[in-house]
Amino acid sequence: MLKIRRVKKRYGTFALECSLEVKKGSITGLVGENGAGKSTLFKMILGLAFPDSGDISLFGKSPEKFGSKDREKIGVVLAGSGMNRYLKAGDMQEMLKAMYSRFDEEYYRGMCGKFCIPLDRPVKDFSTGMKSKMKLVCAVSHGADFLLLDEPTAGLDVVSRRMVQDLLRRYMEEDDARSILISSHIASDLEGLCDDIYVLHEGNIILHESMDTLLTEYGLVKTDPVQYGKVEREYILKIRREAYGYDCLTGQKQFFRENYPELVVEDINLEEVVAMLTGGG
Amino acid sequence: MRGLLVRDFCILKNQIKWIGAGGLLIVVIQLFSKGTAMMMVSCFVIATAMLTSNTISFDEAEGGFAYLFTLPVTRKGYVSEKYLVGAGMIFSVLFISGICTAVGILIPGSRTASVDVEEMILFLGGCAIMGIFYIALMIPLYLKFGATNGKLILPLVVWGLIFLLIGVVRLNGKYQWNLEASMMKFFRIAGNAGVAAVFAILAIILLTISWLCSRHIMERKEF
Repeated sequence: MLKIRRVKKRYGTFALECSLEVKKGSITGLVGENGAGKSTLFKMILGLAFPDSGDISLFGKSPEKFGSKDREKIGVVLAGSGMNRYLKAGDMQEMLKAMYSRFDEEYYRGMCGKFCIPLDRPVKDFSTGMKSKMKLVCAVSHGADFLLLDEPTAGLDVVSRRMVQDLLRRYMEEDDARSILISSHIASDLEGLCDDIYVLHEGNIILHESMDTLLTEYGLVKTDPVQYGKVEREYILKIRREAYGYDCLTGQKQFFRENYPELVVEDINLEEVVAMLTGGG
Repeated sequence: MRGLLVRDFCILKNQIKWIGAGGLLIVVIQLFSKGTAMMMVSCFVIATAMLTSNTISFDEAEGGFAYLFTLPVTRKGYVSEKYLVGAGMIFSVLFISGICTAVGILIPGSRTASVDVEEMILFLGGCAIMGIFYIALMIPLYLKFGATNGKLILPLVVWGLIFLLIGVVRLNGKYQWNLEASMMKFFRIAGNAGVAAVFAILAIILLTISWLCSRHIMERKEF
């Protein structure tokens, strides 16, 4: 569905360089701290920014060659972008109806109701959360084959974030051929949703793993300084100094459980993996 | 294109109070005045052209362009739509003015009844060209520099054009090209209709150049 090969983009001192793939029927997550380059990557996929080098192919086509018909197959939420503040949700409905041949008015109105978005009030009166929900509703109301969601849960409370996750799960269940690329700086939002995950840090992909593998095979090995000196380093991805010794991130926790029964090996979630890898832990 | 037109229509619809008040004022002035009517119509044409450039500033605000171009909207389509809306609105104002004048002429004893029809048609044509000149200048400026900077750069462009005109006049005097006599001769031969046709062709050429510049600007822009 989407293939990005060695794409490079430089803004002043910031440089983005990455490769990424989203397969048909899968939800791929892109996680990274603020300023890691997630939105820049999304903009290049959409043809809003131009890469300095490398290839991007969506539906087998370069974004610069995208016409209106190609764009109809994509639903987008882009962080930092905004709807015209004078438009009402009802106006958006009319506009989207004129733009998308597969726009589902009934679904749109239903989702607006579900997310408490009034149809008769201009966007300028909406809260940050309402604007985020509105953008998401617009993105999923025309049966897009591919959703590109950049920080779709930004500004949402816990309940709304759960609702968004449920909405996306249902969206995928409706059609096997659909795919989603979703980014967030809140790793926990992606954990229960994605099939595979990319971690972006300072413009580079530092981890690509299937979510199942990450949750079943990655772990945290806790050692004191003496134990640390004896453990096999080959399977340690990152080390963090703690008061008692070291926390070691591994992608082979079973190896440590079998070969070092004296060590404490804990399960780890995506948020902790990201924190360890990006040095935020 | 249709979606963009619907969108701009919705934005303008939400500003209906102001547009309606302006429209009503045109109707009243056109029906009950003579001398001031022409001045007012030209003001409304400029105001309408300004409204078109304002829709660009609405689009630009708060990451609006980035949102717009995630929808099935091409950059070329966006640029074309702006010119279409601008020209459409200018001609709508002139059409309303023309209808009101015609109605006024038919009312015996009204002040408009004494208006010379040919003079009025020429005047409305002049207003159309003025409005087109404005959008041809402003749309690429707004797209290139943004709404705020575009407004600041406009006086520089206008002064540039004035200096260009002064330069042509000086060169005309220095090299005795006799441009004014040639122009007068042309006006005499072509007549009112001929002059109007020439200006209409110039307006179309200007709009085409402006559209090509705007398209080039938008195609290179990153959001």
